[in-house]
Amino acid sequence: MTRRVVVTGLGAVCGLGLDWQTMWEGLCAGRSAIRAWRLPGIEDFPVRYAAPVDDEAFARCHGADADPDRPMERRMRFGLAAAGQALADAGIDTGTGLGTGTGRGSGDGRLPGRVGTAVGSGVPERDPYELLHALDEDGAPSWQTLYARRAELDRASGLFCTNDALATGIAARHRLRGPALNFSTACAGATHAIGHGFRMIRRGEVDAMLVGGADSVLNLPTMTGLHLLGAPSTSELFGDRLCRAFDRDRSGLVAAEGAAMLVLESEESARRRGAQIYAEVAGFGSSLDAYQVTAPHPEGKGAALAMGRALADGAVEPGEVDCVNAHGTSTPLNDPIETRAIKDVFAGGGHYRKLAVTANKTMLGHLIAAAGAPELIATVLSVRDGIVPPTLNLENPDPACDLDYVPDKARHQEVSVAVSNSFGFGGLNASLVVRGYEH
Amino acid sequence: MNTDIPTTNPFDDAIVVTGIGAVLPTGRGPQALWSAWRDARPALSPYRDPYVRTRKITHFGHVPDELQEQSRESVPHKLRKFGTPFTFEAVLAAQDAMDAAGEGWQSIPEERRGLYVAQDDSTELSAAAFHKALDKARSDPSAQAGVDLQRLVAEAFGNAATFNPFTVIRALNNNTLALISIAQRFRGDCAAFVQDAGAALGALQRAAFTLRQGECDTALVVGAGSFNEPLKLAAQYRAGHLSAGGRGGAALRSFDAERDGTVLAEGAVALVLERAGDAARRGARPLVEILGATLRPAVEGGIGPSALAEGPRDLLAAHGLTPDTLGAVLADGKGTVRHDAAEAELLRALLKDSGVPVTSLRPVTGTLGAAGPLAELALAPALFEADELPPIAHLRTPPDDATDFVMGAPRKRRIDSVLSLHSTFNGFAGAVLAQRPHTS
Repeated sequence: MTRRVVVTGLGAVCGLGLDWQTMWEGLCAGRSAIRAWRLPGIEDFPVRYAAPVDDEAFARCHGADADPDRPMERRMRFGLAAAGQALADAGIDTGTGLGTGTGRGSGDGRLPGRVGTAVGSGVPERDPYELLHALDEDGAPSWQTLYARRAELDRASGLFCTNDALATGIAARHRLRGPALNFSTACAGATHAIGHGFRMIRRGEVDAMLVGGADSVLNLPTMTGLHLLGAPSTSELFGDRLCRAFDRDRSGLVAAEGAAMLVLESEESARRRGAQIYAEVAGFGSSLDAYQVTAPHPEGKGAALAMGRALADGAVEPGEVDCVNAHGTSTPLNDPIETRAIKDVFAGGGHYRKLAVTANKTMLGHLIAAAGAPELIATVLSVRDGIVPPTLNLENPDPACDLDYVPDKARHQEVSVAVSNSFGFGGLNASLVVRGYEH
Repeated sequence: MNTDIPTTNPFDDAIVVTGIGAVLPTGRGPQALWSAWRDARPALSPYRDPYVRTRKITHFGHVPDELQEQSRESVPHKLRKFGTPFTFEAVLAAQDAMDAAGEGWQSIPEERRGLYVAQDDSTELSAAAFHKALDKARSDPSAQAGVDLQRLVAEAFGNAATFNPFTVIRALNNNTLALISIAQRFRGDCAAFVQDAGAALGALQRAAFTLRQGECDTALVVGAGSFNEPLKLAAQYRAGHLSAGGRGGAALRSFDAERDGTVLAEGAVALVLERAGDAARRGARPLVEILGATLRPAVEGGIGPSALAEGPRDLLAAHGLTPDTLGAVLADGKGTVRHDAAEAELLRALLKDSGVPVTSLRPVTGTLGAAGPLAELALAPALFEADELPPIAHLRTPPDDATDFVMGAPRKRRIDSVLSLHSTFNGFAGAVLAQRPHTS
C-alpha cells in the first residue's frame, strides 16, 4: 500500500513566538529571536547570545509549571504545547479538551484512525543537584544546606527526565494509541522523526502521525559541552546579528530552544475528515557520512546522498525544485559543504543557480534536535503562501557559498516543490521534499 | 534492491537474520549467552565503578573487563576519544555480526547498507568533575554554598584538565550510530532511537520496513547501552526497582513470589538483517526470520496489562499464529514486584490456557535496556536448533495462574516460533515475533 501524505496541522513554540502563525510572520518579516543571553547566575560564560523562549509569555499562554515537586523539563513543556497546538490546528479532538474549536482546524473532530507519534529530542536537561545527590552517600551538613535550597524531587523524577519522555508524554496526554517513537539523531532528530512518520503513513502502518521535535540546550551542562567543542559562536562583533549563515564572517551556531510539531495524515483520511491541507510531504531520504564524528564529509557526499534520495523517493526531478530550506548553521564547515552538496544534486542544467536557498537559523537560532521541525513548517508554508523567508545577516558572502540565499528580505515567488535539510553531529543527514497539494 | 533477478519465491521478501554479534555480561557471542541461559548461570556480579561509591546498588550485569578491553581495541584509535564503553561494545558486536554474515556481505555497497541503532540514555557527565565540585561545596559551610555550587560546577566543567571536552559527543544519544557508521562503513539509510527496550523494537521495525521497500540491501540493527550511570542508578533505586541483592548473583528472580527487584546491566547486541532472497543468492545461512515487532505506549496510565496484550495479539494474528501454535514465549521478567505482576496478568490475558511455555532470560543477563529485545532474538537460532527451552533461573514459586512457566530443567520441545515480550520503565510495551527460517 502506498498513500499520499499531507500536512493537516501545525504547532510551534520558539523564540520568535508561541504559535506557528507568529513564527511564520516573524520569519517572513525577517525578525530574529537571537538576543543577548546569560546562563542564570553565571556572568562570565563565553557564549553571549542565544534564542530563548520568552518564559513569561509562555507561562501566560500555556500556564506555569503545574507541579513544583516534579518540575517538567523545558523541552517537555515546549513539546507538549506544540503538540496540543498541532492537533487543535488539524481539528483533531483526542478527547482531552484540545482540538476542535481551539485552533483553526477544519476537520470534524474525529481521530483519523490509527494515530501515532514520532519525535526527535535531545539530551535530557539534567540538574547538577540530582547528580550530586546520586553520588553523595554521607549527607554532610553542607550537602543538606545545598539540598534544602531545592524542592525535593519526587521518587519518579529521575525516570521522568529521560530522552524519550516527550514521546511518552504526548502519547499519554493525547491518548494516542498508535506507535510512539523517540528518535535521537542529534540535529537531524526531528527530520528523521518526520521522515519515518511519513513513511509509516505512506505504507499504511498508521493513518496519521504527530511528528516533530523539542529541545532546550540553554542549560549549563549542555552549553558547556557545546562550547568546549567550539560549536557555538562566542563572537560579540555583530551583536544579535551573530548568526551569519553563508557569510564570510560566520563563526559558529547560535543555540536556541523550542519545539514544533506537525500532523501528517494520509490524503484519504484528511479528505474524509474535511481537514485543511497545507501541503504534501512527497519524499524522505537519509544517509550517513561515515567520515568523522565532528566534521561533515568535505565534499558533502552524505548530504547530497540524502537530498538525492529524498527527491527519488518523491519521484521529483531536481529541476522541479524551487527552494531549499538549508541546514545553514552559520558554522565554518557546514555552510560551504552544504552549498557544494546542493550544487552537486541540482547540477543538471545549472538548476542550482535558479534555487532560492534560505537559512531559517539566522532568525530562529539552532534548535538542535528540534531544528528540522520549525524549518519544515516554514518549508510547508513557503509552498502554501509562495514566500521564501530571508537569510539574515548575509553581508559579505563567502566565496565558497555562491548560491542565491535570499538575503535580508523575504521573497514572494511560486514555490511548487521545496527541500528541507537537517544534518547532525556524527555525520547523519536527512532531507524532506514538500510540494503543493493538488487533489 | 536488485531488480535484475525476478522474484519468484514468496519467501524472498522475508526478513532474515544472517549474522549475530553479542557483547554481554555472559561474554562474547550468542553461544556464550545460550550456554549461560541453558545452564541457568547468572552473569550478575557485585557492582563496581571507579567513581560511584554506593552501598545501595549491590549487583550489576557488568560486561567482563577483558571483553570491555577487546571492545575498546576493536574501535579505530582516532575514534576512541568519542566513545563510551558501551559504544565500543556496540562496535565489536557489529563487527562480529558482519563477520558472521559471511564474506559475500562485504560486497554490498556502503550506501546500500542501512544502520538502525537503539541506544540507552547516556548523559556521560564527568563524575570526576562533579566529585571535585562536591568536595569544594562540602568544605564551604557558608549560606552562599548553594549559589556558589553553580560556579563550582561551571569551573569543573570548564577545566579541561578535569573535564573531557568530548563529553558532549559522548552524551549524544546517536553516539553509537556515528561510531559504527564510521568504523564499519555504513552510508545508507539510518535511524537512532532512545526509549529503553522499546528503542530496539523501533529499530527492528524501521530496518525491516526499509529492506522491504528496497531502500537498502542490508540493515544492521544494533542495541547498546548501560544502566551504569549515576543518575540512572539513583533514579531506579529511588523508584524502588532494584533488588536489595541479598542473594548475590541470584538476586533477579523473575516472576518468583520472593522477587524484590531487578538487577541492571549493560551490553550490546547486533543483528545483520537481509531479504531472504538476497541472503540465499549470496549463499548466506538464514538464522532466524523476523516476522514483526510492535511497540505501543501505555496511554491509559501505568502498565495496564489487558490493553497491552492487544499489541502482541495483533502481531500474532497478522502472521496467522495463535498462542496454541506458538513455540515459546520469552517473557521480559524484570523481577520487580510491579512489572512482573503486570506481565503475569498480560500473559494470562494473552495466552489463555493455551499451554505455550513461558521462560525468561532476564535472571541471567539482568535488565539490559536497549539491547534487551535483540538478546532474545540472538538466542532464537539456538532454540530452533536445540529444540529445548531453558528455564527461568531461580523460579521456585511462580504466580498462581494457568501460565506454564518453565522451571528447573530445560524443557524438550520443538520450537518453530518465539514471541518475546518487553516493557520499559517509561510506559512503553512491545513484542517481537520470530520464526524458524524457511530454508528451501
